[in-house]
Amino acid sequence: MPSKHFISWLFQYPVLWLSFGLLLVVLPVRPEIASLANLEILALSTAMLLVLAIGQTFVLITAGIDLSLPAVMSLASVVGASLIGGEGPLAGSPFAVSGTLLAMGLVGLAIGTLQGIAVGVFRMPAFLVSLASLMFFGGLAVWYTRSARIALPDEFIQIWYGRLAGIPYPILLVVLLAACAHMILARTVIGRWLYAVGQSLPASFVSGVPVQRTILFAYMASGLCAAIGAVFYSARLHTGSPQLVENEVLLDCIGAAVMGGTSLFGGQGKILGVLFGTLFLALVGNSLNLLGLRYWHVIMIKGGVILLATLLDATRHRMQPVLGGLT
Amino acid sequence: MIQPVLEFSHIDKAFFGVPVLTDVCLALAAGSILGLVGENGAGKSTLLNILGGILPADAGQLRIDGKPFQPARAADSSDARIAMVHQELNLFGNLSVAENLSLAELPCKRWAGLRWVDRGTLAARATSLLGKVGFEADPDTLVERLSPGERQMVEIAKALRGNPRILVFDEPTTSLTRPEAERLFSIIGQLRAEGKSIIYVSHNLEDVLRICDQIAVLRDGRVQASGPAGQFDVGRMIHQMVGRDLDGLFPRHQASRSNEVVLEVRRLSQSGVVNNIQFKLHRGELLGISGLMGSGRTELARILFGLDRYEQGEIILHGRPLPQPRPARCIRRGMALLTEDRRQEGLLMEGSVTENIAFASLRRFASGPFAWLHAKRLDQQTFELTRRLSIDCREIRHQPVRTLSGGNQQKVVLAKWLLRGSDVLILDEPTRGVDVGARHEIYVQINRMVERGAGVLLISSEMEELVGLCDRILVMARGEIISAEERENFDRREILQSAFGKERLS
Repeated sequence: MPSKHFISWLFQYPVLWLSFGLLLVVLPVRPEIASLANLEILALSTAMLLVLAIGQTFVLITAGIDLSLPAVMSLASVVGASLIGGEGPLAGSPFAVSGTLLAMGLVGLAIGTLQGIAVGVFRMPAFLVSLASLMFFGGLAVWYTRSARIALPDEFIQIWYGRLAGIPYPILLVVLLAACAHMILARTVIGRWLYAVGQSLPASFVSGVPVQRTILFAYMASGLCAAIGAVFYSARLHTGSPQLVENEVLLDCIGAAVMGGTSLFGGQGKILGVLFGTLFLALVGNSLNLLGLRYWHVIMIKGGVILLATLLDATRHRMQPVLGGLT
Repeated sequence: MIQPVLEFSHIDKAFFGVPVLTDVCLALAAGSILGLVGENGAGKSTLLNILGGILPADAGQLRIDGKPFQPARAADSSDARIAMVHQELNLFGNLSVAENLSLAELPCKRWAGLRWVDRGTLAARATSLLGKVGFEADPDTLVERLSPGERQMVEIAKALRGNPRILVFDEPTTSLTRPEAERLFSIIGQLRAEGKSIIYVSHNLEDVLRICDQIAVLRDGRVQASGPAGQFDVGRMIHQMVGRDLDGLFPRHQASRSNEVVLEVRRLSQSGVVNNIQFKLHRGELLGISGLMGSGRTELARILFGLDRYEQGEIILHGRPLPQPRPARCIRRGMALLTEDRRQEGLLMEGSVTENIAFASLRRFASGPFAWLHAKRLDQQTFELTRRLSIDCREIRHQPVRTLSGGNQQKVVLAKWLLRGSDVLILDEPTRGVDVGARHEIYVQINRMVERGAGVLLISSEMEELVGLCDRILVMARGEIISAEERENFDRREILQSAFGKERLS
């Protein structure tokens, strides 16, 4: 007998039901969706998106938004590739991979810090700050490489293609990352501060929560996650590219977070929900591909689904009754 | 008997079971001015909101010219030619005077299938309305360039747009200089001469006495006295406004004030807000601050807690100066502020009871390099507090505090600071919007804190509360401390008189 808690838990994530529903619809038409090979593809695309969605969730919880992800990824990608690829200073050195990873992580953290200061300390609107970053750092990445792609050596590519006990590295790494993110949000002081700041900035300030530091942390986390995403994308493509991902990745990761129960209005969101949201979007892409739909059909449908999820979020937000004051 | 223009007949109104108006009967005669006075919370605003169609009455009837009138929306009231001139000005600073005056129905011309604003009619209409209040201004001036007094004139002109028969003035002089107020009175007199009927609400009792024909005193939602202005004087009005005995409601704390000063304020000033504030708060003392709205009480609390700036003076907390107060710094040194606005600044309205109690104290329940939370210990202590304060909720971990009653919400804020272990508490209107039963419980909790050695600064608009609870009361008016009274010398009337400004009574 499943417990009452388990059932209410299942109903907390309608997106999980949607995923099952979609799977059941596609399965009779394209049974290969459940093949081991396809499930691995599904897992890998979920992992890829989840990294970005986790970072985005930290920012969304503070009632902010980070639109700069594609640019951060591109810049991290070309900086990393310029170090390790071709004639790069780290090429062939024993610290080639670790040094490159460190540099890429620092790029993400640095951009996150800049954005966190702009939003947290100078109280600039997150939307504009991150949109401007998207343009600026995207341009910087192109300028840095004069728009060339840089091939990556084998040892770096192993990060994506390598396996441990038959399981691809990226899946193991993302599981680890998701577990850390979950623990930070649920069990540490900074995690709880993120929710408090997202729910009410004035109340948090009056209660002594270090509001500026909390917001800074969220954007740094998002920058770091974007850098990790850049490592995966670059390794998969064997190249460092100034246009590493399509901007639609941005909508995918925000959409995945929102579908997993993260609120665009701040103060709400759990990593587990985000995992389900990501899984759903990956499944949509995967099954539509299997059904032979073209790229533009896929993005149209994804766009529609994300719009619906946002409508649901806005409705939930609007439904909260506004209590009339006494005075 | 002459038919009154407007009658309130046996009006009742309650919020969440707390009566705010009880059996209110009032009549407004044609071409006269009715003055409405009462303490904050006496029910004046509620009564006006019922007239304005913003709130429905629970029972009773409104009558206009003897015919029942049931406004369900604000528009019903303006259709009945009732106009309100509000205390806080509802003007758009970024628009011109003329645009503000016609905002609801901009005059239009059709051209090429589009509706264009007819600027000529707009200006002509504005000039004629402004003429009625004797205010000569260029209709194209932006409202943000006008003085508060001039804005008040625009607000009145706006109210005159629908040619109202009944005009309501709610605290119109708060932001006016004396000459501006005099000008306002002459306009009100002129409107009366034109046969309009006026309700005038003010804390300035002298003004009410001077310009009104009839006066009604509200207290605790009841009409305490009403009659021709000639029957009243300021002293009588004050007596009617406050005189009541509710001693059982206010428990006294058992602490004795120690000599240890926990908070000292020296010559604190911020121009236009507070001026030369000095006082000492001792361990085991409950110090009240009385004063009208806008007297600088709340502003003082916000400055002490680092939410607003100050230009001059010193704040000394636990014997050490606090040069640049910031909330986080104040809290670390034991200070706590229960803000006037608990919804915005006190609580995470969507958060649970436990979340709200815990979120100011998280660091005290964490250890290790990652500030790992000891969830069990935190849970235990928050649960203990919800029990000790008998916070009434279905469930403490998931139910948002938004769904709790005002009294329980306020207890959650108190519990938050209790968990933090604060021992200098500033409570700004802790019982606003809290029903009588829960009030008592909040008083008991405040007393317990004092008994445990905290120093408490209690800011309140309610005289009874301060007189019933405090060891000492500071009276503020116009940003200054006008007087300080020890418990054995408490005299409600005198305190209220200082708050209203002594010079007007002598």
